[in-house]
Amino acid sequence: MDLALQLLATGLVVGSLYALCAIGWGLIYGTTLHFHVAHGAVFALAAYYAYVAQTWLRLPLAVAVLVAIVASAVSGLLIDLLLYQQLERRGAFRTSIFIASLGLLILLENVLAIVFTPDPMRMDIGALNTAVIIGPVFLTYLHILTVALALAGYGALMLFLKRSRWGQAIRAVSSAPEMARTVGIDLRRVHLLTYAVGSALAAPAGILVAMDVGAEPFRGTRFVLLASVGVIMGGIGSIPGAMLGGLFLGLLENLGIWKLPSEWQSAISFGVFLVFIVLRPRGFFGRTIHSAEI
Amino acid sequence: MLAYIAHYLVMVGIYTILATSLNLLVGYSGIFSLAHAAIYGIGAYASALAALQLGLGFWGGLLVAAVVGAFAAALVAIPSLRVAGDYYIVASFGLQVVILTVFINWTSLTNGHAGLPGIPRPRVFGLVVDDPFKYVVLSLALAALTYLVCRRLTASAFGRTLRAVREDEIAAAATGKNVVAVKIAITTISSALGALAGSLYAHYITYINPTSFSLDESIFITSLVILGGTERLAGPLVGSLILLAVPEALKFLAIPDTVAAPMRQILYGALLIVFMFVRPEGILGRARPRRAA
Repeated sequence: MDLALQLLATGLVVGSLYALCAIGWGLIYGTTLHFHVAHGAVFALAAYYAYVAQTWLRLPLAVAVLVAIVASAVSGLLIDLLLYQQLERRGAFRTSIFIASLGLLILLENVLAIVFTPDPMRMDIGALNTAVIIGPVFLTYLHILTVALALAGYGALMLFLKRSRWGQAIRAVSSAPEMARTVGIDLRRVHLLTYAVGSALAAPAGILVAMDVGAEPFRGTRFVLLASVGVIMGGIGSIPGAMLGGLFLGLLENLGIWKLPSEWQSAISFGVFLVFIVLRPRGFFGRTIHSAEI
Repeated sequence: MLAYIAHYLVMVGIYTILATSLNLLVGYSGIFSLAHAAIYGIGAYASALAALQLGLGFWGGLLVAAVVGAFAAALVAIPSLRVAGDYYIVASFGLQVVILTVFINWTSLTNGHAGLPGIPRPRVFGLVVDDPFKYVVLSLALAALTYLVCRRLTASAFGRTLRAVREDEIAAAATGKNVVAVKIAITTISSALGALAGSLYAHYITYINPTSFSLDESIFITSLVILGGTERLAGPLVGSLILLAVPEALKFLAIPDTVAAPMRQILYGALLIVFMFVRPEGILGRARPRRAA
């Protein structure tokens, strides 16, 4: 039972990281319909931005993290501006955008691997590494911060989407792009904003993992694909769904190893995913996606 | 040097089979799969195990590989192709991860990271194919066979249905085509063919381990298709001839191994991006009417 509680807590922490990736990716996918796998590259970049800001520029940790989040938001925005929008201007198909995104993911990951070596680059996180022991559960302050930041990120995003004019513009484009254009919303600018916001949400996830176990170049691929699984499970177009989907995957992976050997961890999520899309293809709360819609 | 060229041609044959079969999905049906390396691996492991444990010959192994490969793909295709196309990207990635996990962790069957050594050379019509020169013939013959099968398939009524489904699913369904069944069928066929390449590879190298069948490999096969030209059956051959020569060319530049491997990946990534800008239809491809911007 103690083990189960520990796995539950770890699952919650890991799930928070997936959730941050998933709400950002889900926002971008729901709004632009781009299958943006390069989100994984933004996730990896964020970690190295923080690492560089702290160890090379000697900034205090909190400042380094803020700089890294802003830099990641700009990176995401530039990916849309310089890659996807240019392709769309040339009349590219959605598959072309996906392939270019995949190309960019591989390219950036390997550039990071050459510049920083494939080995994890550890960061100095000081007191955040202190252990917190709650009954049988062992965590660090960083883990608790992770869960708190995921909730804060989700809350901030929901508030932004519901209350601000720009947030409402994103929702308008997400639900009916043509209609949004008709009422005078500039789709390109909304897309740029969506990429900036979505990337700013992936950044904390990338940075938090790096703070825990070091920055690594190839971790993003796994995270972005799990994010897409979370988004589909939660329901495409639903931010609460993506949040739940991410948390669910983290818990599933960790509670799974309560009964199964840990090397099967990654197989569990995808196995459940396949069963899930048979039973409920639209996810927990999503709009129905018909075969021909996309 | 001659043996070297022979080895290169054997690999061109193997990758032409892989890319031609993947092209059925990516080029002709608009279904994007990230699991082709896993299918390749399933073919390799299935026929290696058939040879080592059941004592099956080359043809038997080929058949086992095709059946197991088709079955694995169908298992994923049936749930995920019922819904929108993007689901298959995620599901196929899942298949890739699960299959690789199986190769690594089901040690009693696959021997884990250590891999399976001692796979016998094929015996074809009473002749043991044991040197690279003979293997060139076998490899290119199977590649040619795959090409012919795919040509028959894509030129048939079924091939036209595929293209109709790719261009407009609703219109295809409206003319009475069972869109889902067509998509599942082509995924199964493509995987059966891709698994053949795995069988060929296992009997050629005589040793297999999980590292040959990773996600990077899936992406490499995709680059072959994109570079050569989607929707052109000769495209994969051109793609394989060019991209398989690249690592060999890099060997002549004195780059340390730790940098050479990522450099290759950077090149593939850059190629994918550049081709989407300059020539999305690939080197041999016919330009398709572009979507109005």
